[in-house]
Amino acid sequence: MKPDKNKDIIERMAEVLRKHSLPYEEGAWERFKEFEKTKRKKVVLWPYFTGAAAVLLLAITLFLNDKGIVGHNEPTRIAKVEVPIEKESLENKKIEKLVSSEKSVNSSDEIRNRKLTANNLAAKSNLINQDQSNNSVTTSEHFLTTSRQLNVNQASLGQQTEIEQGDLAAPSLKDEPISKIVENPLAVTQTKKDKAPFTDDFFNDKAYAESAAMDNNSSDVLNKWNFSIEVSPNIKEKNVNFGGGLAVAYNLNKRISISSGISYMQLDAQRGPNQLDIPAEFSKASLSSYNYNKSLNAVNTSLVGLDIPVNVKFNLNNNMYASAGVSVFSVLNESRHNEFEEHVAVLAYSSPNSISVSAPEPLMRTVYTKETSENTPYQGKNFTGFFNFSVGYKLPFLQKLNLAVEPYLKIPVGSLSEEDMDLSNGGLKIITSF
Amino acid sequence: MSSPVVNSKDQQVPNLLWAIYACAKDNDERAKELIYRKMYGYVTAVVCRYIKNTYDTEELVNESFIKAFRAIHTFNYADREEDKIEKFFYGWIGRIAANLSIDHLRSRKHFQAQDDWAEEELKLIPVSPSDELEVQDILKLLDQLPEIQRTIFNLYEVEGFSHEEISTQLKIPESTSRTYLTRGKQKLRLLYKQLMEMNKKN
Repeated sequence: MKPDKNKDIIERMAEVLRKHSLPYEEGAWERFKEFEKTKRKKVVLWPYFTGAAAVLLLAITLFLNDKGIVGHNEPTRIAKVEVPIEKESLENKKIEKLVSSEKSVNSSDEIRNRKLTANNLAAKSNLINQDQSNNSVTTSEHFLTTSRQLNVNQASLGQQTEIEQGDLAAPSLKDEPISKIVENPLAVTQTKKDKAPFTDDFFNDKAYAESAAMDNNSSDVLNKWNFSIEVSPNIKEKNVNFGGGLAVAYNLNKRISISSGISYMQLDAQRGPNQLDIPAEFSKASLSSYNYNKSLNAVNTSLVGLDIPVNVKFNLNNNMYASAGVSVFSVLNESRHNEFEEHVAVLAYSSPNSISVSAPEPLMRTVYTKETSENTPYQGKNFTGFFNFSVGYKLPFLQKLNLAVEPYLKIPVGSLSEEDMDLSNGGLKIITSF
Repeated sequence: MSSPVVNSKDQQVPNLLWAIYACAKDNDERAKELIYRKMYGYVTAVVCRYIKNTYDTEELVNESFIKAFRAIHTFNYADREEDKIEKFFYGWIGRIAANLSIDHLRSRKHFQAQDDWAEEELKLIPVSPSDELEVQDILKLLDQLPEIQRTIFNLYEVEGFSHEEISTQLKIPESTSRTYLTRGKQKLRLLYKQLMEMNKKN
């Protein structure tokens, strides 16, 4: 087979295939309508709204939980308070050992010495009280009792030793944990007044520590949450539109936080003749079959909607952060208008003076008109929305206002990107947090 | 090819030009139906060249129309001769259908880089003895090609894509696209030659 002939075969094959068309299948249009409806149903973004709602719910739950943790933490802190008491118990044991070692002493000197020892013990207990702000009243009182009993019962060392041993063992911290006392402020006051007036400082310290702990915990909770108001004008094809809303962020750690919120958004978009995939000879279009002098130049739309973002924010350093996420965009209102270019024939005269002399000549004039379109394909629809990207900078010289500026970019994604307008936009957010 | 529905503009009845305009401007349902009924057979034929599964074919045909209706505003024309506009509209919607078919094939991982094709694998199929090439005969010949070669042949020779566009669409180097096309055409010629010889013997 000759090459030319072969080439012809390929060309003939391509030509036949280009002209090939199958017959119309009855019911295809009806099936297409059903298919189109199904596709539209898929566009309904209830799962995204559910997801956003779930995130908000989770955020609220975490917030409330954090508040609840303040109450739950109290026993934990009291447990911490009990730790030095255990140390105290060790001290008690040492004292007990010292007292026990005196059992075998019978002389008055030794009794005197023992008094001194007992006083030393009392002094020691005071020192312990002073050194360790978390000491218990019971323990202090116990040392006093021990000291008193040593003075009163000098004659009978054995008996005294028994008393001492009994006293040392009886008012143990196990019987009346300090946590109970702390939990009941009235009990604390009572104990303080009745038993250990000299331990006021200790209680003051403890109350202060408790209060400080509460404050710290509250501030921890608040530190985890950031609330902010933002103004976010967006820029799209030389148009600047207003936008703004509320945002809440939950700090997972120092570096990362998750934010959500709701913002009002205005957006303009224009669709001009697209040259892609269109042969060059189609560059100037005339779309009207009835008036071939009129052509559709552009379609403009103006959207008003609500944007619900879920973003992850990374703190790059103290002043800078980057954020990325997605948002759902719900269109509340759309106004659309078409711009036409029309060539109109008008009568023209060659010069003002020649009106009466020469006949008017037809002249083509280009007229631009704008018509409001009833077609509003976006209105009332919810879209997957946008990919959000932004970089923020906290203004260090305005720390009291907590101001930050954040250039951002929103790129349409999912069903929104498949629409006839390019809705990508950007702008500058100004955020104040509190 | 089905008989054209387009009527002359002088008749003041809905035609393809009106349908394109009305669809672009107002998303008119009547216009969409006209376009669908007119282009259905052609779009189905394009999709069938790439996709063999009947269910997938119907879905892709409908997807093609949805995409075409959404993007119909991008189809502009300056030529006032209806015949030429119709021709370009066929080409435009055919490319949409071809692109979607390729996307579908890629999503199903149908493409295999290898095109090993032993001579003994060629099946001899009867071709109409007349000089006129029948569509079904050509399609049967094309079916004998490895999928990647058949796809590139269809895209380049039938749909009019450039090698640059094919390389972008199929994510292969341009040189690979050229090589596969050359091989595909050679094999088509070889197949055709063998079938002609067999027909002569019969």
